[in-house]
Amino acid sequence: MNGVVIVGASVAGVHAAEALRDAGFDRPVTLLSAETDLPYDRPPLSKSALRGEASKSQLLLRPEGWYQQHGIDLVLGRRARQLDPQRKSVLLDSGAELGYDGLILATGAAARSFEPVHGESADVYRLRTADDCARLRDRLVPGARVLVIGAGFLGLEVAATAHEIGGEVSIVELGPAPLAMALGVDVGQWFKRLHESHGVAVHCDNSVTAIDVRRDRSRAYLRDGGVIDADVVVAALGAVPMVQWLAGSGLELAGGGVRCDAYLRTSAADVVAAGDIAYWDNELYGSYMRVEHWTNAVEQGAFAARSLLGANERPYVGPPYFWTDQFAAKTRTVGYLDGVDAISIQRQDDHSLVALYGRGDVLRAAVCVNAPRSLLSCRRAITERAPWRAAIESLY
Amino acid sequence: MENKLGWEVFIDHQACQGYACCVMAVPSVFDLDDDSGKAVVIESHPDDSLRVAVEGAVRGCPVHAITIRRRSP
Repeated sequence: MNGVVIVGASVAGVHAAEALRDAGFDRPVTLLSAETDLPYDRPPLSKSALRGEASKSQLLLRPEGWYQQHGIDLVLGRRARQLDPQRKSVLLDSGAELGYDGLILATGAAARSFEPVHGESADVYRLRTADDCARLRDRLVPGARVLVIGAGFLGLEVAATAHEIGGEVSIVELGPAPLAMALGVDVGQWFKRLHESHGVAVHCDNSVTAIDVRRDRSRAYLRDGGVIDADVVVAALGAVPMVQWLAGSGLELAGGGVRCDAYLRTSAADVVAAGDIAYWDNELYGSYMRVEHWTNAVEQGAFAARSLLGANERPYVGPPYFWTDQFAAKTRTVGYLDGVDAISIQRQDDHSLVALYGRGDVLRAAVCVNAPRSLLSCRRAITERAPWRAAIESLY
Repeated sequence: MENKLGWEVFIDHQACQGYACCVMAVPSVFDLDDDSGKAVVIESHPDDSLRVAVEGAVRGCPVHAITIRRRSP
């Protein structure tokens, strides 16, 4: 018996391994990681770990001994290169082949790299791995001039953390406001004001066209002719799902990831996918979607493992959920934001905000900043597919 | 309501960041405090049928703020 192979010791991969053992699965489980560190958690990398408040051991998803205790063969520093779903085997970069009876794909995503219009992108930091975090943390010292490229969730968190450390922070964003693509321009403006109120310089409708690196200092040239001098440049340009290695395997890829049914089963027999790469049929919304968030990875990892064992009676549904903490703003977003055609800001002040998002006269998503009670009522309404009109009249 | 397994649910309020994952997972056991925005246990001795769901909430807490303990006698 070959047992189950899990590709990716991500949060989805580790929760998949745990769910297999919880379900009483007693055959071999191999958990494969391209990274050399023990599996760790990523959300703190832009917050407490970047502030230096969380050590590497505090980031571990499970204690070192946990894998052996649960009979999980953790293989570090090995990358999957190829999948052959007919022969049920995974080819590794070492040249070795791993056979499987069941395969869980949980390879996650990688940071999208910064490619300037002119010149090289050398010395631009990014933040995806624990190593990235350690490298960046060493440079974030009080007084450092920090330039963040990209005002998405990660970029804004890095900017807030860098400011808290005592950095002098600028952000350059291509869109008309931070988070404009995800949350709309008006809500994005709220986040712009939040950062500006702390003294972060936010340059929207702009981009970095070239970076000149001279001895630990960089000069960034902006599209509008501006110039920003920085000691540290961080690119936060989103993530790319790690599915390139599956091209040519015959596995159906779609939506930037791996196409899955409502039970997270891929087009190949005994192969399931979970987390950032799963483009699955979410029956709550009646559409396929891919969600790059922590809670989704936790839940899908466990769900996909049970799917492999045939133990799920109902499909994986539910509104996506994620959070971002910047300064004192605790932002909680529930629901699916892609493709919305209506936005209503229900209330906003300097401290809090509630915005609703709809599509086709149905409430799809909500953004709640420092509004815990609203978050719970919004989630309930989204799960019940509340009509848009009723939602904007009742949810604050 | 049966709690024959003798278990109790606790939240470390220092660790809790109000991510609300537990409230969404098991609303009959967890709630959010309006003022602090942090999670609170509203049923510290839940029915045994909720054990698996609460264990899910323990694992689904991003800051590991939830623990299940044996009930003190």
